[in-house]
Amino acid sequence: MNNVNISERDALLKKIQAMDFALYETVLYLDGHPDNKKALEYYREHRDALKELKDEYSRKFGPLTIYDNYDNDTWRWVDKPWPWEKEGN
Amino acid sequence: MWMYDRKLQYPVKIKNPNANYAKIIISQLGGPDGELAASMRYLNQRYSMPYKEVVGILTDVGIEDKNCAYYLRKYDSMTTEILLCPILCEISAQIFAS
Repeated sequence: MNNVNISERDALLKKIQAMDFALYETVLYLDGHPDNKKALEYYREHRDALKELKDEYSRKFGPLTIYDNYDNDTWRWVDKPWPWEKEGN
Repeated sequence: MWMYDRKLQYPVKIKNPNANYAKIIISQLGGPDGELAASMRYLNQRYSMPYKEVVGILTDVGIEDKNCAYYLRKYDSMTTEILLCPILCEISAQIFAS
């Protein structure tokens, strides 16, 4: 996780943020319309794409959830920068 | 009950810190009629809802409102506020920190 390319990390993170938002919106819609086939299809496609992106991110740049810390030498979950800092998002 | 991603919902990079603006924003979160209060109501009232769709919505919107003040959301207003609210907390956090 050293020698991190900041702009590559930021670009991938931005993609993930956008897709995650779209997915959460779909979740909220499906909560109210559980049988809408189109929404379910949209959800499925984006959920699978998002999983891949998040996997790529956490292997290259650090964990996004508590379950995907792939560094066996250090606990990266508490690394700086924090997500709310300028450099962290 | 909740997993979270170690990321913001949107990128937030404040160029010009402004403490007065930050005060207004943070009051939207924790002040009267704030998002946190709404979140608490949703998460506590979902247990007595008769319809599963409503339970789901209250849970998922309540979670968004709660998430450690990192982002907000106004589900019931359905206006451009929906886009604005999610970043209010990150903005005020950065403004206070700068």
